[in-house]
Amino acid sequence: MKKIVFVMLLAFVVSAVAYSQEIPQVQLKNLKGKVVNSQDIIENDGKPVMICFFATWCKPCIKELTAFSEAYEDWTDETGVKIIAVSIDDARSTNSVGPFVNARGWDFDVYLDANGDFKRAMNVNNVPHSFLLDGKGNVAWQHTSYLEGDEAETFEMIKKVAAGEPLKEEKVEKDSE
Amino acid sequence: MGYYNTLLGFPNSGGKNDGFGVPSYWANFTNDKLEVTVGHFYEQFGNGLTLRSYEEKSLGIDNAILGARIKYTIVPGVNIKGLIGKQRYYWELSDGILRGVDGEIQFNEMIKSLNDNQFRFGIGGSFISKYQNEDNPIYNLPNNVATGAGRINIGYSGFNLISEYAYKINDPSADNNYIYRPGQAFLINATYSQKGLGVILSTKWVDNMSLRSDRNATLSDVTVSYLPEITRNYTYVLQAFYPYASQPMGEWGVKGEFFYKFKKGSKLGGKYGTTITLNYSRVHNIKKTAINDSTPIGTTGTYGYNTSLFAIGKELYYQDINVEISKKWSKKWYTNIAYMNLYYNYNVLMGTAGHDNVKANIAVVEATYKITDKYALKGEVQAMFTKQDKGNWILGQLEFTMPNWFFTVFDNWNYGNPDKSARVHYFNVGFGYVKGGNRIQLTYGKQREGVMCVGGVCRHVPASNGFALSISSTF
Amino acid sequence: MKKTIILTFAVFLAGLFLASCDKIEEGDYLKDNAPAPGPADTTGQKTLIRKVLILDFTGHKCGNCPKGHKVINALEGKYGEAVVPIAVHCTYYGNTNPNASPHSTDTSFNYDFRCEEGIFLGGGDADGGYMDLDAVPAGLINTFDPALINSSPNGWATDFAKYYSTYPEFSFNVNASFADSTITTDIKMTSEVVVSRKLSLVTYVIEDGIVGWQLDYESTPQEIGNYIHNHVLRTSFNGAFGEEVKTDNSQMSAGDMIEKNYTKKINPDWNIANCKVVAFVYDSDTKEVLQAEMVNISE
Repeated sequence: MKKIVFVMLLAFVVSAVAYSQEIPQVQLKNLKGKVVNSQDIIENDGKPVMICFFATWCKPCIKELTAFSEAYEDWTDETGVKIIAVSIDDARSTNSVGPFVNARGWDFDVYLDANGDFKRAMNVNNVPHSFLLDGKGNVAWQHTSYLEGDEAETFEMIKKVAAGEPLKEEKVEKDSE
Repeated sequence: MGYYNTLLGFPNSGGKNDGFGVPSYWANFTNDKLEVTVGHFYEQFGNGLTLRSYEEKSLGIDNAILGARIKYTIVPGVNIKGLIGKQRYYWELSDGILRGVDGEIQFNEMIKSLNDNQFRFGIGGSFISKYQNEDNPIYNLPNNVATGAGRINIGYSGFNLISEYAYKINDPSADNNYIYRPGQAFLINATYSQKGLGVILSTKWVDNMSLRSDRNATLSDVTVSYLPEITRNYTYVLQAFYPYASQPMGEWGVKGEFFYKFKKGSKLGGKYGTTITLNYSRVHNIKKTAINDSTPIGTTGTYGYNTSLFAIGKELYYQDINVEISKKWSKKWYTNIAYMNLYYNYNVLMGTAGHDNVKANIAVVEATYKITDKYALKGEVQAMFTKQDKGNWILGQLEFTMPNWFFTVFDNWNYGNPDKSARVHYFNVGFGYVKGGNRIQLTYGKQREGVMCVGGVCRHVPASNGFALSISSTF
Repeated sequence: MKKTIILTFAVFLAGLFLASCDKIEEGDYLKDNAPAPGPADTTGQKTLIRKVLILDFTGHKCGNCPKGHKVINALEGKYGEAVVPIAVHCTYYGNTNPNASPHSTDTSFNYDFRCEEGIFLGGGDADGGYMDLDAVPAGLINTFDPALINSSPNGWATDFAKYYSTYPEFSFNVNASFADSTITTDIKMTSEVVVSRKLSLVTYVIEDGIVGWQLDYESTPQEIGNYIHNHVLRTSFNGAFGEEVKTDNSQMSAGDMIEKNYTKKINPDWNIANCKVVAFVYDSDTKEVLQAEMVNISE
């Protein structure tokens, strides 16, 4: 038992250190009800991954994901990026997410975060909120809200990350922190 | 970390919600199969009917559990969870102790040969016990209250069916006015979808099913059970003007939702496709009968009343019919139009008496014009027509967006108020700045008055003028 | 490892089922006997009751508030004069009906029971107030501490019993008389034990038996025209928070007495035969009410 306590404390410290770099480990469900681990779903052969938090009741989210959806084929062809849509719909509408997404023909991998565990772990306050991960699974860039035309900037970032270029702005921000 | 009310009028008795401190602490151990958490955590069993501990900052809700939790995957597809702890009550802890277990089996994962089968099947169950000692001088109260639930999910190709039933033993509380009858809740949700089409049908039955870790808690404090509203969550201001709230003391509801996307290039789809959403919901009371001739329904210190599963009452609580069509016309133009017909049982939902129930028609037209790739202008007109309550409203909004910045102005005018002196403009202006994970927004305007009596208490938020600054920051 | 975990779960489950369910049979809902009053003092000479103050923040337009009145009635039936209730009409819910006369023919809810002290404590139309109430009904049992507000009237009974079963630190001897539209009151408070607290004394006038409108969601019809309003706070002799009568933590030996006299000219609309004087003493720091008394006014 002592051993377990020790391991737990260690894990706590390590997770705090790793927090700003890697995606936290949280259980999500896919649309078929299967429990999946957040760290397993971001596997993309070293190519960038976008995690987009959304909700079916959130108008800007729908606009954002519709815009991404229209460009998705081009984006994937050019950069190999994979988009993961994480719904924060709670029990009121969790069960509607599948039909909602399917009807719109979005080709993203969709996961359910019904009690907001992943949302909290990623420190998301409002949707839409997107995270761009580099090939190693580290957060390279993030973005909240959707303003008309944001997809252009998003794609710029994806291209940079895919090419392994540094994101200047982000670096400045980090220095100031 | 600070912990403040985000909006005017949220519960804040005696400054309970103000203060500084470390709101959460926890230690976590995880490997492939096992996860152990000690400290603060959030959890949901099934659809939340028995337990949902969650955080909704915008609503001032945070009922995290402080205690210990184990999650264990016995074999793939078979998951169990167990927890024990006390719920957060602002900066203190709630009186009651919660103990719970939940188990779920997804057969398609458990049995390898079924992994890719079109037919999917799973079952689950949960059990919660609440312990709260209380020496009430008038009533004998149960120290331990048990709640159990069973659930099932079945899928075949595009079909999905989810159902859950929950039962709670006697639990006299502030919510049910100290009656002793057991509570129950039943949910069924069926969906079908294929590319371009989605259909949802659901129904819900609730009777005396509020559970809190403190029987004397009210408002949104220390809730354990979560009864999801069956109605759609609207976001346009006037569509959300009369929102439905679950009635834990008894309700029956039904909902149908239909999504369809006319394909790109089709006659109705145009160049970019057209999405249409239809939804309908209807909620009634449940049929309750008195336990005897001399005791009114729901009398404190009695069994309360009798009812049976799916005994639907005659009183209509809520009904909405809504059609919404979104269409992108060209690279520059996008529109969304919606029409809604609403019936709102004002007395039941707002906790008033003698008020007329609201029948309203609401129309929304939203259009976005992209001036260039990066600059866009959005205009919105919403109108609500009703003869009841405050009468007609019209809302106009303009929003200009450019990289990182947005500017918005709107006026919500109660032009049809039967009281001519109350035909007020609620005018708001604001702007915001977004960069990375940060968002700052400043608005100035007038807030509406609100009066509400739910959950055994009555609240009033007066109309006010003021600035609202909202800052949301990540990392 | 696996076995241990499954075993732990099994034990946990078994424990949960064993101790998880208290079903109370019909007929056993009510407790038979009232708990004994506070213990006799150490000498065993006399049994003094700790009377308990119930501040019931209420409003005649608040349909949930009669729940509070019912709990107070039940407690009075069981504990008699040990219950010292004050109905503090306050907030928006204590305001008159906006459609009430003279503007229209609607005469319902056409009065306002709120007084200066009640509005100060519980808030007026725009809410707020010292207690920063979210909602009514709200109860404060034997305290002035806003953090202890209890929104569940049935919970008030539990709070009541907690104080009632303890020994009082003070006894009261209160006299009140009425002449020339003025109430004169004489209050003697004697310590029963050694007390080293800062003390404040509050003296209110309340009125019983006022017939008027009340909204009650548990009655049919919900709008009751002839509801009897009891314990309505009318005014204070010495402010909403009273007067500090002992300003330091020095020791006060058992048997020491503090005496205060007050007079107040009252509103001629009040029925003096139904008015009472309520006095209570509280710790100025902890805000706990230590003893309360309610007396009739002699004419």
